[in-house]
Amino acid sequence: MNIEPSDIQSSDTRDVVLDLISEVTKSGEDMEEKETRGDKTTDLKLYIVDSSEDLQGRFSEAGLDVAEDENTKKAARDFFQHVVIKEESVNEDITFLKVTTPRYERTDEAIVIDSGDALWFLTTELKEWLEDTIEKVIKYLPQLERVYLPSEDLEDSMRGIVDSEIAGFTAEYHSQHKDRDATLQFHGAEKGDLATAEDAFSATPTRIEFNQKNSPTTAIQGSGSNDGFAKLESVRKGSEGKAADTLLNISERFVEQDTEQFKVNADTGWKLLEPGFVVDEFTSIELHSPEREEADFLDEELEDEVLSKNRYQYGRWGEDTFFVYDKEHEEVFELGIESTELVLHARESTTALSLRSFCRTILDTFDSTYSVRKEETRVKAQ
Amino acid sequence: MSGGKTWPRQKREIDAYNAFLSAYPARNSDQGFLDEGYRLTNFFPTINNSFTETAVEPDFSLYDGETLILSEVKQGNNIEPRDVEQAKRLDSVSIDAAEEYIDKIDVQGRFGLSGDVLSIEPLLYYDNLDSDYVEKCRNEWENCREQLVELEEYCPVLGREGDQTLQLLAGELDSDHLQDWLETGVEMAETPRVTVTMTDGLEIESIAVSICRVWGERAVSEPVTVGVSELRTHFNYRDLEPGRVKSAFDLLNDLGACNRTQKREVEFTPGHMPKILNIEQLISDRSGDSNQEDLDEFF
Repeated sequence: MNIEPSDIQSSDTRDVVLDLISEVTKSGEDMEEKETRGDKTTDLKLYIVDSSEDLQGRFSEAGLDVAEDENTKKAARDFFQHVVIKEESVNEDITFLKVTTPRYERTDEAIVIDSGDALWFLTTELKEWLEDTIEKVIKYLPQLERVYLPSEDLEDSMRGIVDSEIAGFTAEYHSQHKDRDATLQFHGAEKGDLATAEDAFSATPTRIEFNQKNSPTTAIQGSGSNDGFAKLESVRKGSEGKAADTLLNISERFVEQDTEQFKVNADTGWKLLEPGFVVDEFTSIELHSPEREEADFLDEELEDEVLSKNRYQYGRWGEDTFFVYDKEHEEVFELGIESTELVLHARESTTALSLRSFCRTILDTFDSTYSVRKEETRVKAQ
Repeated sequence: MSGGKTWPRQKREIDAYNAFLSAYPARNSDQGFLDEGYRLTNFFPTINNSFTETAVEPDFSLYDGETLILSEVKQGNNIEPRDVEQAKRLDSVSIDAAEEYIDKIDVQGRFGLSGDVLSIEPLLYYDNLDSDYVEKCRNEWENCREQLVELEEYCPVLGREGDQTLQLLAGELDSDHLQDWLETGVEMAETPRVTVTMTDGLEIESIAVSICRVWGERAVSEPVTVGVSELRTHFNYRDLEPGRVKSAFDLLNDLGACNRTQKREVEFTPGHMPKILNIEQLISDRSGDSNQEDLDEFF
């Protein structure tokens, strides 16, 4: 990145975003020429991350904790054993993160901002490199998890961007009952193309590209992905402010949707009362309305495809209920099977981390045709 | 106790509780008890009542600021003479006794509800009773009819209609509104959340399972210990004898689901988690082919 910590010493969040946008700003002519996307030009990336602990200023230490933890999976331990993490504090909410891989003599940088409701990792490094550095820091630190939007929420968020239209998308389909694992990539999309993909192939969007006008011409090109990732590919000179607002709005919307869908607001603990005891509140997440109408072996499929993953241990209660321990997030939740549908119930230790991660695994790798709905029972006096 | 053989019956009792509770925050309906304004105030409360020699002990109490519902939950569909006795006791709870009970459980702080009780509605739910059975009972089986007629005099009878609708099948509620609502019925969950894991009789297996569900599950990152006294406090609703808790500890220890650290204490560690989570199956396996047990021997 072209920015040094000293450049942003007295900046607020929006200033930092504007500084980074300057790296992707193009003249009017360049914008006209850039008809197709996906060239290896610089773009600004934003990872939107939920964190269960305040890690700013402690990334290096948290990484070494993982490296030394025998119980953590090997890939995570190896990663933190082979990279060097340095962090420089810019101000109270902003730090500069550098991840160096000595073997390749490479250092990738990201600006980490505590935006209040989420942690942002902003960077203009190349995606291929980020996948081996910054993305792995986020993936392998158990305190962090990228926000996640089921397809419908992603579509809502992206359609909510003012003056914009959908310019392309990636839509996916996978399901246990059909031997088909499909990914549709669509560039130069026109109105209705996404609906066609959904209707014709039951494929649901995981990434949506948008073109945003700043009257009268296209001024901003960007995209958002369901794994808490947004990108500004190019911004026309003069539209930097609008682009910054767009990125900030996308993040706000993503966090809002993610919270709406996965946060456990209910107090699911046991209460002791003088005569008897009780649990007052409940949070459940339903994975409902899959494409298939029958799933006679759903329990076995889940055991084979999802619960057998290293991160999970589980036990069964009767025919249709699993109790699941997410070792990585150190949480237990309950999973009920209702014909073709799945219901997750929060237990005392459950937070959004394990619920989101399970739903994400289901939608990304098991059956992308589920829809997600949260049901909460709150009984507190208002 | 008979070394785990009774677990299948205990499990059916627990399943009946959880089925009933799935009509409270009813996920499949906007007509659940909660939607009707009721709050589940307690599992297994004890209500001191001057009209009966001993306290009245329903399985659940629900309250909306005016009406207190006292519900008793049964597995199966068999109406027993002792059910009639229970119904009679539930029906005898006075407004004074109900208000005294409500005062103890902080309905104001928890739900913002007044502590007034204007009426009491006792009810019995049978997890395996449907309208066909009630009709046959009433018209064809004389013994059954006698029990039913006596029972419904004290207490309306609810059952499971179709696959999963909680519905009023006999008797009447005092409130017309409740009567109409329960005649229509509430859709329960196909797979109810496992909320209650304790039996009314506090059998050892159910204690062991409950210890796992509450304390075992807390051992997600560090060891968690629990002792006899803490357990007796938690389950203070019934007189839980120390000897039973120790037997439950022994059972968990035998199954490898905990460490026995002291005479009156067990420890759960994250390493025990697979067994903690699978405790129901482990106890089922232990009870062998007890599915063939004769239900009646327990009544």
